[in-house]
Formats: sequence, C-alpha cells, structure tokens
Amino acid sequence: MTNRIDLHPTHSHGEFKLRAGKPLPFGTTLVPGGVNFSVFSRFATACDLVLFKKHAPTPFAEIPFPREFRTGNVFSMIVFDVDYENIEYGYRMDGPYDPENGHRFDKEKILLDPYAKLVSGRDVWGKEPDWNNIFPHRGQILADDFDWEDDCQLETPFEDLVVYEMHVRGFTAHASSKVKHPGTFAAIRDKIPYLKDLGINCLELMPIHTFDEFENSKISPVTGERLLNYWGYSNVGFFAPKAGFAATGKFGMQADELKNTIKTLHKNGIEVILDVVFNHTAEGNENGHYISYRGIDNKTYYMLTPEGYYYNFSGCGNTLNCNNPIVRNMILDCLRYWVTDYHIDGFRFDLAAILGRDQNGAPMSSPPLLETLAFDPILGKCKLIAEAWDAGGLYQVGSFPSWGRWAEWNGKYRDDLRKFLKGEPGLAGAVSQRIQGSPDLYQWEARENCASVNFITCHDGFTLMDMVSYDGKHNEANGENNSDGGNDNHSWNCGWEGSSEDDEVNRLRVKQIKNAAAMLLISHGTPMILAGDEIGNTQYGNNNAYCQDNELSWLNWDQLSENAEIHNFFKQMIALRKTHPMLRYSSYAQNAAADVEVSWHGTSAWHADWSGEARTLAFMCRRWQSDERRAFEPDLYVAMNMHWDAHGFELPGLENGRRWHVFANTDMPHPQDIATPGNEILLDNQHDFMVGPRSVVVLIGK
Amino acid sequence: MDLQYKMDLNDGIASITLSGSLDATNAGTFQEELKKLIGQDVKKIVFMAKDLTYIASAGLRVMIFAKQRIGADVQVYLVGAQEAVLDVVKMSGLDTFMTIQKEFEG
Amino acid sequence: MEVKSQLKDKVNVIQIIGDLDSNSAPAAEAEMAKHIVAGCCIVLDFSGLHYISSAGLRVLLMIGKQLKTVGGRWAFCGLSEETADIMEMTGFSGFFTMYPDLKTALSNLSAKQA
Repeated sequence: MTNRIDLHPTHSHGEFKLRAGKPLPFGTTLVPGGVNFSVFSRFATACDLVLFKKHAPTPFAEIPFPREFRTGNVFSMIVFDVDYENIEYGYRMDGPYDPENGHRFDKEKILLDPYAKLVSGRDVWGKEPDWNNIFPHRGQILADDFDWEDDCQLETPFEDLVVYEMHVRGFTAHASSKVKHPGTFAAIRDKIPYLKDLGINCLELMPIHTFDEFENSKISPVTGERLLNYWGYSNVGFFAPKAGFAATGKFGMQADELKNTIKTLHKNGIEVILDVVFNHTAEGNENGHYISYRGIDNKTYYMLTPEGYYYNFSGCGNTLNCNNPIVRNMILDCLRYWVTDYHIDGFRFDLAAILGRDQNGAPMSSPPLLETLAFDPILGKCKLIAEAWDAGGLYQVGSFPSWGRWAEWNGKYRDDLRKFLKGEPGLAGAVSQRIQGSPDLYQWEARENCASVNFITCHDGFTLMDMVSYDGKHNEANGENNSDGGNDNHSWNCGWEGSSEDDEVNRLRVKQIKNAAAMLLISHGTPMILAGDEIGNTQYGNNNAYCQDNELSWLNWDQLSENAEIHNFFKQMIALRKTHPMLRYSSYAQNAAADVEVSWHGTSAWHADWSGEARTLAFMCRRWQSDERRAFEPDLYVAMNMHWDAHGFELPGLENGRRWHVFANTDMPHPQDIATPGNEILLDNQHDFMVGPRSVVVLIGK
Repeated sequence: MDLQYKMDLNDGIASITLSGSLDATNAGTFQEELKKLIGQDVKKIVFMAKDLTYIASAGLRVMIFAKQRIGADVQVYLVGAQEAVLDVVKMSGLDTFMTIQKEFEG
Repeated sequence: MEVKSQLKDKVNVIQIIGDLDSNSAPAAEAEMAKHIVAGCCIVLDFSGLHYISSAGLRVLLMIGKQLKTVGGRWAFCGLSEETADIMEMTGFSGFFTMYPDLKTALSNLSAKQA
C-alpha cells in the first residue's frame, strides 16, 4: 500500500501539524511525513511533548497531548514535518506529588523517554557537562534502517564459546593500544585481528547502555583526579547505546557505529554479549534527581516501601520494579530491540537475583520476568546469563530459576579455584565438581545447555595478575578509605605485596597465572577471561576500579611484549580447548547420556586424594568405551599440584598403543611451558610424571 | 471489469467520470492520475459515478487521499452512484466528508 | 546546503556544499536522482562538505543502490579525514569507492569507461 490515509494532520499547535499517534511501539518511530511519539504513564493527569533544537538551552516548543491523543494510559501523537535529526525531545508530566503513596510528579521537570533510542548530553566521554542544563539527558530520534546485509546472530553453541569480558573504553583507551580512536566501539574493530589470534569468539561488553559518567563524580583524595562512574552500572537509558563510547557520538551516530562494529565482529566469528543492568537506574533514592522514570510513573517503575521510600536491593539507591507487568514488558521490549536492531547474541544480567523478587522484594519461586525471557520467541537463541545474586543477600548460584535456558556466572567456581590455586587444603572434592561444569550445582535440573560460565576473574575484583600479587585490596584511590570492594579475594601475593623486583616471586606469579589459565580452559562449561589477564594487566591491587578512568584500569598493551609468555600460554590453552571436543561437552558427566568418561586420580593412578589435606588432583578424559569416537579422539590427562613441594603422579595406562605426550607443564620455563596442539612432546617415562611445586601438567594420550 | 476514468478541470472543478470497478488492482494508477491535481487551483472534486459498478476499500482510500492531499478545503462530491457503491460509502462512514448527489448541482 | 553539478569528460560531477543532514537530505537526493540514468557515471565531490549526518549517509546509500540497478557507476572524492572516518566507522564506506581528489576520481572512472 503506497499511501496511508491516516497520515494526514487533523490537529495543529502553533506551527506544528499533528495527529493522534499509535500507542505502539513506545518511543519514537519515523512514519511517512513525521514522527510518532508514544509514552506510557498510569498516574499522570497530563503530558506535554517538549522539543528542543539540538543542544539549545531552552525548548522551542511544548505540545500538550489532547485527550483524544491518549489511549488508556498511553499518550501518543504524530508530529509532522519535523527535522528529526536536529531536534531533541522530552516529556513534561503532570500528576500528584504524594511520596507516601508513591507519586513524585513534578511539572517543572523535563523527562527522558524511557524508550529513547538515542540519548544526547554526554556525547563525548568525560567532557564536563553544563551543570545548569535544564534537560541534561535528551531523547533523539533514530533512523533504524541500518543495512545489515546478510548478518545474523551467530548461534555458536554455548560450550564452544570463549568469552572475553571487556570494558569498551578500558580496552583501547591507553595510548599503547595504537588505535586511531581510543576507547571506542570503532577501536574494537581495529583489535579484531588480536582477538582472533588469541582465539576469542565472544565479547561480553560491560554496560554500553546510556549512563552518566559524571554521576556522583568527585575528586580522588589520593591522586587529585576526578573520579568518574567509569564502569557504568547505572542506567540512564536502556534502549540507547552510550554516545561517549562512539567516536561518532558527537555526531549522534553511535547506533550506526555500534551496529557496524557488531557486524564486523560477526563476520569474524565473534559473538557479542551485553552486560545489562535492569536492577536499578541512575535516579538514586529519595534524594536523587529526576531523569525519567520517577517523574513519568514512579510507582510503576520502582519498588517502594509501604511508606513510599525506595527499596535498595541493588546497593545503588533504588530497585527497578522488574516484576511489575509494565516494567517487565519494558525489559522484554528492550532485549528484543537489542536482538532485532543490534543483532546481539546474548545478555549477562547484572545482579539478576533482583529480577526474581516480587513487587515487595520477596524472592519468587517462578518469577514471571525470568520465565518470560526464557521462553520469548525473539530471544529464543540468545544466551541468557545471570549474575545469580544481589546486594540484598539473595545468593542463587545453582538455584537460579532456569527453565533450561538460563546460565549463571558461577561464583563458586571462582572461589573454589582461587582457594585451590593459593594452596588451601581439602579442595579436591570441590574442584573436581567445578572442573566438570559443577554438576553438584546444575545436574539436578538436567539442563541440556551449558549452565556454568566459569571464571576466576572478572571486572569485579582483582585482575589475574593482582590475584597473585596482592593479599589484600588497595582501593585508596577510590576515596573511600579502602572500605569499598570485596574482602574475600582468596588471593595470595606469592611472597611480596605488590610489584616486586624478586625474580623468584615474579616467576611464581607467572606460573600461578598459567595454572589458573590451564584450569579455566580445561574446565567444562563456558570459560570467561577478563580482558587483559592474558597480558598480565594490573590494577595495582585495586579490586573495585569502578571509578578509575585512567591507566589504573585501562589495558596497557605494552605488557603484550613484556608478558608474551603469558599471552602465548592463554592462546595455546584456548587452541587446545578448540582442538578437543571432549573439553566442550554440553551435558553433565555423571549423566548416563554424557559424552565423556571422566576419571579422577592423584599421586596414585585411579586414587584421588579426597582428604582434608589434599592439595593435588588429577583427572583423565576419554570417550566411553561404547563411543566410536574413542578410537580417534586423543585422551587427556591433567595433573594439578598446588602443594609447595613437587610430587610424582602415577599415570593411568593407555589403550591401543597410545602414549602420553606433554602439552603443557607450567613448571617449565618458556618456551618449554606449552606446545601447540598437535606438536606435543612424547614422554620417555610413560608411568610417572614428576609435577613441580604449584604446577599444572596437561598430557595428551595419542 | 476494468476501471475507466476521464478527468476534466474547468473553473476549479475537477470532474472525474468513473466506470467499471475501482479496487486494489487499479487504485494505484488512479491515484497517480489524481496527483496531477496537486498544486492546481481545485475547489471541488466531483466523482461522476453513474457507471461505477463496484468500489473496494482501496478505492475509498484513494478518494480520501484526494481530499487530504489536494487540499483540506476542497469539497468532494459523489454523483449518481449506484446503490451498491453508495452502500459501501455509507457503511464505511465516508458519506460524512463528501457530498452525495443524484445529479451534480454544484 | 548547496548542490552543483557539471559535466566533465562525460562524467557528472556533483558537488555537495555545506551540511548534508535530515534537513537538506531530501533536496540533495532529488538533485542527485536527476542524474541517474542507465550507464551513468557520477563523481560526488565532497571537498566543500562541512558536515554529514546519519540521514545524509542514508541518502548516499539509497542513491548508490538506485545507481546499481540502472548499471551506473560512481565514486567519491574530496572527503575530509573526519568524514572518511565517520563513513568507515559507521559501515558506509564499504558501499563506496573513495578517491583523494577530483582529478584522481575522474581519471579512474574514465579509465574504466574506456
């Protein structure tokens, strides 16, 4: 149909020609000849559309929605002949100011559309804003016709992923990154050859939704620098990419730049997972300011106490009312939008336990939001990953409702592996579970998909280098007297706190890093690497670098040559994982249907030491006797000695004339520490292997 | 049966004689024909519909489109329409925005 | 925005001067569309371009697709480094051939024509 008859103005307001709009979709939509604006508010009594010329201090038009432009609780109108690229828009809502009953309407405020697809106001990262701006975060209208050509979600099986957790800015902001536009989406494209060479096939991007880096900014008492909200776990707009992460953000082209980055990553076989923060917003508590939700429909968007105060399960002042049907739909709309319009491959949900709390904060057994996401048709092939805990004390690792769809950041994996690595005794049993993909946590549900995202480090906490260089956190630069950040780091400094000139200490640190890399990459489940760990990146002992937009948290690419042996070790371990399908099975080993026979050993073959004193563990993977693949897939054996003395490990015998070959031995100096897959070195002694102190050995039986 | 139409513009009155059936298959070309009136000094559009045997939804849209695009103050007349066509116009509520006459009275 | 066109060596040289954004895009599109005929040969000269927005890039892409269907050819020249960067980062550069200046663009297009 070439011409619609319902796209003709029926009303006018000053110079503007108007017509009743379509309530759905919410937000703005380009329609022939105009723009459709649509916004929900249940309790507002009136609404005005407020229009600004780009960057103008005051609006040039305020258009009230007539009664006939409201359907139910939705205000919608088409404004004709608007120069859509050169305007910014917001809403003014009238309604009761009655905090005790949950209402905080304020007609003086201009509010951001919760569905805004572009948000201006922080277009260039770190550029000090005009603090007198009456409308600091402004909606803009997006032409959403990016030409994706034949791109689609990659749908890489979960168990085949090697995830790389990255801060978009921190990845290339450092001058050593040698990219043209440091700290941007575009710069990620420049680093694709590096990522491919390392073997990464999935990026997990820390928050890229619009946030305000100047939220709660202050001066560091230590360095005198301004501290920003660098991590961005504090949403201003869920539908809009952060302009300051785009080199083209100052031209309002951040959406195109991000889409092009994703398209190029996909062409190179790399998936993109977004870290999404639906547990709270940047509006804070009773003392916070108006950005959007609190002025649009406070009672709908936030969890409120019976007295009208904000519940704080997020630790950030407020809690998004995720299981309110309106908010639930907004989250669903948002995720669908990122999948359809940005071709996102999956999501990691920050403090996801909150998403399972009811409107009064009580945990639910079958939370409707989580169920909706698990079964949504458009999200049907998306990876859904929960950070299965919240700041209100709900810890659901292993019990997060999954419907066979949700995977979890496995916090127990991190804790058990760290304790084992630093030489705590009695962890053989726990570690055996973690290495098998934590069947003790997940097998009860008989999940088909990989449920466990295994990690030893992530953005939250020490980097891997710091985990082996510091016993305690050093967060003084954050300006909170070192009281922020976690204390249960299970870290060990290898004999000296912080940077050391002692070769022995440094050698041990490198070895411990390799031990961690080896364990992570031979574990069943999906491994996740913190960007920079593969080049020994340090944050100088800061385990909570959320506000450190500087060299403390940026990746220093000079370390790539300094720590080339660490980089090579990661690269070869990833290659090993990709070479051996046995390391990537998707179901749990103890199930009858599982693909792989895993047997446990110790210093004696077939006798693992499960005692409370054990610091050694070994295991062998091979196909079941009945599996025809047993004939051509090599066997694998891994010995882990986390004791400070060397121990001889008796090797299990091999069938069919196979012999053990060494792939990796972290006790050996580079380049004898690791081979390349297929070039393993035959062992003279096929019966015993002397595993050095605090060392991991990987053998291939072929 | 196909649509046949003839258009004359005299003294601000566009007279369009229609015969046959106006439906989705020919509404597009008919609309293009009407677009010629845009920008001209048109005060009245008169659809002479004596020989119009059938009008479908797409045809009705063209008539509305004509009014919207040619000018809001244009008067639209439907003249001599057969009962079947008249019924469709009335049931779809279009009779409120056009003047229905048996013979064109001006 | 201003659009100027002239014929040079059987090539239509279209100069876009000023800002190409949602405000000026429809006029620019209409002007460029005039030159799209079977087998046409167009050089877009951006040496006078001040700023190009997302809508501006979209118009270029649409013109490019129309050219393709009629078997026309075109090239860009005179882009500032910043504009070339924007095109590269937002994924539009893959659809166009760019030359540093008008002379190079003309000699390349003429060479192909001959």
